[in-house]
Order: sequence, then C-alpha cells, then structure tokens
Amino acid sequence: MDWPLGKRESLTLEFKEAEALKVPANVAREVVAFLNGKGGEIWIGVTEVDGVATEVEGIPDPRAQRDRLQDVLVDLVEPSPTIGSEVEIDVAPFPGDPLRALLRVVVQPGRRGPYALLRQTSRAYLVRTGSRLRPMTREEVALGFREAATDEEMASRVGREVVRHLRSCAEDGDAGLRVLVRAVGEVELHLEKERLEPLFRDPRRTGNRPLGWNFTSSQFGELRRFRQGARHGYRFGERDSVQWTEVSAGGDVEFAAGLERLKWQGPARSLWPLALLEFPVSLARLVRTLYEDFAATPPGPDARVVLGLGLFQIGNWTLAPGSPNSIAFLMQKPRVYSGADAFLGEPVVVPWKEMHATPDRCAFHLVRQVYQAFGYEEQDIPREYDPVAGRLTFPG
Amino acid sequence: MHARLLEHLSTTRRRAAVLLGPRQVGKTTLLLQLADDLVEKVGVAPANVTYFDFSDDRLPVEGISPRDVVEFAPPGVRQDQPRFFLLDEVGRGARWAQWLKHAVDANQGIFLVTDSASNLLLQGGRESGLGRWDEYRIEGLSLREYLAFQALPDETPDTTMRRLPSPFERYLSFGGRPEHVLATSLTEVRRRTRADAVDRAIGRDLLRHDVDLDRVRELFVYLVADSGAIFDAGARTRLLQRPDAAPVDRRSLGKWIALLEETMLLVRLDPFARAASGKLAGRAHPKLYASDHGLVVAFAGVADPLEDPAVRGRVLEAAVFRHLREYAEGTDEEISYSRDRRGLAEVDFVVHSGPRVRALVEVTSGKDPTRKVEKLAATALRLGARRSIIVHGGLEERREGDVWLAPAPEFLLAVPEWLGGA
Repeated sequence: MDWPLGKRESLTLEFKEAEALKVPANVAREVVAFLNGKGGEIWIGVTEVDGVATEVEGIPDPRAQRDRLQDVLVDLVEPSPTIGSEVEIDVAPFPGDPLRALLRVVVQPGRRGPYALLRQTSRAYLVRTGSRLRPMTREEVALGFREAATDEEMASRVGREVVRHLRSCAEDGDAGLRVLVRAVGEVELHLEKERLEPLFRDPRRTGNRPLGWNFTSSQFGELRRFRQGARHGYRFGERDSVQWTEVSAGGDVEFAAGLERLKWQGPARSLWPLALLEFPVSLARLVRTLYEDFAATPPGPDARVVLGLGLFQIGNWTLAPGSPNSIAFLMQKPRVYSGADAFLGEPVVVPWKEMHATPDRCAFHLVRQVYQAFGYEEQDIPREYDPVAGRLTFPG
Repeated sequence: MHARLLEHLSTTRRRAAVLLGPRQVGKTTLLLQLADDLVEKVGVAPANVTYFDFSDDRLPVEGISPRDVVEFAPPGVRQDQPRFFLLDEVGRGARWAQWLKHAVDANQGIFLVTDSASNLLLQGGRESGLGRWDEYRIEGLSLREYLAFQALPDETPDTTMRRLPSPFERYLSFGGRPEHVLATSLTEVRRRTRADAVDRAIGRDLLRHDVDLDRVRELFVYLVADSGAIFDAGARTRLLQRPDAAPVDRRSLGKWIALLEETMLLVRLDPFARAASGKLAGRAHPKLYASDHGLVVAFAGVADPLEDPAVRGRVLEAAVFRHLREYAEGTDEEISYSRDRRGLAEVDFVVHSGPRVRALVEVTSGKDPTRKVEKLAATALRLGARRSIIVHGGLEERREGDVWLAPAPEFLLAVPEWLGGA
C-alpha cells in the first residue's frame, strides 16, 4: 500500500481530512473538478499542511462511509458518474486495524462532460487548476458539451453492439463464458502470424502465468486466419472446441470457454472461482499487448474500449465465495445462480489509459458483476485480486 | 497397480505381497482402498480385514510387533474366511521380514505389506523373502493417471487434457505425486518435495543405515540436479571430500547410491552394449535419473525451472524414463541407453529384449527436433532398431523417413502404441 504521506497536492492529487465526510458535497466538488480535468485521486482521512500530507487519521466504519459517499456523488454530480468506472472509492485499511481505514477516491477524466455540481437551484461547472478549483469558462462548458455528444454516442453504440452480440450467443444456445472487447473509434491492428502466435503459446508474453486459466494453450489449437464479411483477423482454436480466441484487425477481441473449462474441483455444476476471475483478466492483458504492440497508431490515452461478459446455460450452477486457497472456502455454502439461464453483464467502458495501466482492474469490473448476480459482495471475490493495486496475483 | 494387488489378494494364497515405493506416492491410500474393496467387492467379512499403520505416532515408543497385530482377533472374525492383513510401514516393526516369512509359511493369513525398500536392505530380508512374497513397486503418477485423477465421469484422457488449464505444464512442474495433483502453488510444491526427499526420505529413513547423512543428502542433490547424466564416480568422489570429515571412497559412494536407489529416489540406467556373443556387457558408467521428474524441478537452482531449457530437458527426460519403466515392467524388455565410441551418450533410451532392439527413444525439450533426425536414423541402422522416436516439446506429430517425431504428451499417453505394440 502506497500511503500518500509526504506527497503534495497537485493537479491530480487532493487531501481531505476525515471531517470532510460530514459535508460530502465538499468531496463532490473535487470529484467534479477532476472529472472535468485530467482525473485524479482524493485521499480522505489525511491531514495536510501547506498542501503536504502530514498525518493520516483512520475513518471509522469505512465501508459504510464509502457507500454513503457513493450515494452522494450519484445525487450531486451531473451526469451521475459511473461508480466502478469513472469513479472508484477504495477502502485502504490500516495495517493491523481492519476497523479503520482511509478512503481513496479515484476519478478518471470524464468522457460525458462537462460535469456539474448540483446545488439547490444551480449547477457549478468546476475544473482543477494546479491544486485549486475554479469555475469553467463559458467557452469551456460549450466545447465540453459539443465533444461529449459525439464521443458518448459512439461508446453507447459499441456498448449496445456488445449486448446484442452476447444476447445472440445466448439465443444460439452457447454454453460457457464469453468475453468481448471492442474499441470505441478506429483501431487498426497489423496482425502477422509469426508475431501473433507466440502470444497464444506462451502466456508469459502477455503477463499471464503458465499454469493458470487463460486464453493460451501450449498444446492445442492452431492459429488460423478468418474472414467474416469485412471483418478479418486470426482465430486460435476452433469455434466448436472447448476454448477459442478471435482477434480482428479492427481491434475486436473475443474469447470463449466452454462450461467444462470453468469447472475444476468441487461438485458438478460448480464454477471454479479462479477460472472465472483469471479468464477475463488474461484476455484484458492480451488486449493491452495487442493494442500496444500491433496497432498501427497506439491509442491515445483518452481512447476507450468496451468490455462485455456473458455466462450461458449456468442455471442452477453454484459459486462459492472467497478464494479456494483459503480454509474458509471449504466451509462456505456456495450460492446457486437463480437468474435466467444466461447472465449478460452490463458493458463496461474504460479509457485506454486504464486498460494500459491496469488491465486487471478493467476485467475485474466484469467479474464483479457476476459475483453480484450470485448475490455476493465485492469482498467475496477471491483475494488473489487486490482491489487497491488493481492486480491479480497468484502465489508462486 | 490397484487391480494387480486386488487380484493378488483375491487369488494368491501362499505368497504375501510387498508393496514398495517412495514416500507420498499413495501406498497408504491404495491399502485403504483395497480394504474397502475386499469387504465390498470380494465379500470378506469386515472383521477379517485388518489394516494397521506401524508409523502411527500414537503407538507406544517400544512399538508393536506384527505378531501382536496378527494374533489379536477382533470380535466378528469368521473362521470360514481367511484373514487379510494390510500392514503399512511394516519396517517400523522389529525383524518384520523374518516374521513375515514365518507367517506366510504358517499360513496365518493373507498379507499385503508396504515399506520403503531400504528396510529390506537393512534387515537382509530380500533373500529370505524369495518364494514367500511378490514385490510390487509403485512410482509417482503417470500422465494418464494424473489426468484420470481430474477427469470427469467417462472422460477420456484427451478430453481431460483439453479441458484442464495447461495440464501437461502442470504435470511437468508438479511431478507425479498424488498429493500435488490439485496444487496451485509451484513454490509450495517445490518446498514440500524438497522437505520430503531430503528431510524425511534421506534424513529419517536412512538413519538406521549408519551412513553420513549430510553427504548422502549432498550427493543426492548433485545427482538430481544433474539427472540423466552419465555417472562419474571419480568426479563425484572428489566433490564430496571435506577436510574435516572422513574421506569418501568409491565404495562408500557406491553404497550411498545403492541406498538412494533402494529408497526409489534415484533410478539407474545402464548402457546398452552388444558384445560379439550377443550378451550384454557390464554395468559400468550408468546414468542416474531422478525417479520422479518433480524432484528435478524441486531441486533446480533457478526460480523458474521449466523456463530453463537445460532443466526442462532433464525434467522431460526423467518423465519419459518413468513411462518407459512402466512399459517394460511385466515384459521381457529392458531399458538402457546407447553410448558411442567415445563413451558419450548417443541415444537417450534403448528399448530392447536382450540384444534385439525394439526402439530407440531420444528426448528433446526443444520444439524443432529435425536436427536430431539424421543422427538417430544412423544409430537405428547400426543397432538394428525396429523403430526410432524423437519425443519433443513441440506440437508436430509426423514421420521423417524412418524416424517418428512425437509431441511429448502424445508419447506419454500412449507409449506402447508408439513403440510399436506391447
């Protein structure tokens, strides 16, 4: 845990004492300013002197405070920020005292701006300058509205495409996991078999582990070209096999794993938590590598990608909470999926900069939805995923 | 092995079965399964089946003798059925080999005992056991068994391979011990394997043999790290000398290696030689292999063993040897290796029956085996081998002239077929 002590407030860093939670609108102001700017972090529970963090003060009942703050942001910020995507609030516990913690509010640069703080009868469009806030000028507000319309429309369209695709998989009777990644805007990947194939044979090349649940296979599957109308690229594994991955030159990536790949130990029809967690993460890491190393022009930091996940024919399948590497896992009663036979997650839109820096966190947004569909909380997700660092790590 | 032992117990009356195997390979589990099967499948009365673990820490310090176990008759013993005694770690009992010999002669019951072979050496029991018991050796899981452990009902090994995440990499990394099949941490597996081999198998099991355990351990680590190398007694003797300890001579070295073989930590592979008379030559210059490829990974001095081509090659070779041993057991065929005129290893494995060579098997962890084809073909011609196979780390299965190229998992799953029928 990288505590902020000694750091100075800046364009992207703000400190608030725990008292600030008594007037959460003051936190909301800062969030609005970050959304309208380059994003940033707000640490709550930190005392600063002349802008330098000098002391930390644990917040009691931090999870309840986090939930309350989330509600306030949704109510006081227009448009409401997407919690978990545009704004995330992490609980950073004190070592040795799990009851007290700091809150860290991570704000992405907003893509649906300009954002406003709602007051009783007015809106305040604020932006950050250095370590201070100022109102946005009339021109800045107007420009923000013009840009947002186009960009937002594109992201929504891609999101709808993702949902349509997942729905058609369900209607076609597919079984298992499907993870999709689509670029918002134009992406061109120069795919060459000699350069691409090693990514599918050696998981280390994309930051994945050799013995895990990922899109690679050292033994099976061939990398073959495909063409479907205007879409073309490479597919690893046959479409009727237990696992396959498709990469298109337009930057679309799709992964499918049969239900049998999601089960390992335990009763029949039980999802193995590490498979459920690691497959999407491994794919996000693949996407990062593809966009970094194969794109004709690397995506700009504000370019976006849409991720989607579907689980099909999982009616009456179970999922146990926690990590299989913990003793509690054996003692917990797994929950049964009681929804429709197919789970179709909400598409998640993330900026390329986040995909580049923390692909695991991007995939985590998808996995969290699955756990919520089983009635679980975030803390029930295996601890191999560290929500503060945004990274999935396994013991050696 | 389970089927063989059950058949032995069900049909053999005048010979005991002695099951030998390294630690943690599943001997106890096998005994307990057999106990269940004797009652449920064979119809033996429960009171007529006795399982006893001589290594149980709850036993008094002075121990229990096998005689005490056999002479105790629990309520419900049926006199119209034989009594079955499944005695685990029987070597902890005093003079068990002599006792077993008498018990078999006196027809006191049907016996299946387990132990590490080094106890047989200690008690000189091997010779006196001749005719009284059959020895069965159990090793770590083969690839087929490893997959069967994780298979769904009615699933074939091929289907299991495709379903599981990186099963062959996991098998190579974790070795063939059943306790590691479902492991998730390679670091933990390596640590446990080292502890079991060095602390328990050598540190405890060899304690009664009055040997320099520190140097046996050291020798073992050298040999495992160099698994598959031609044994150079002179060089090893020099490496083990210590200024403050008794000198090591070749005789001591030979004794230590014999003990390590008897505890089934190491396996010897002799060179194949065909003298003019057609008889095989002596046992000079053997190669020594880790009995389980997991030992090579555990003792590799690198953080990521399978990423090191040299280590990966040794791991794969040890795994192939284990499968070839299983193939040869129960047949009249043997496994050797071939040396050239300079005494260097030429072909990793020769499968033969006396002077008649069935197959040559060369192992490479590399993905492109074609550079080895010509040399293997030439050796095959010289030795008159019926088949030549290069087991490799790639995906291609094809034939290059008279040489077959076999992806490692495919070979390990179907050794008899690759060698041209059992």
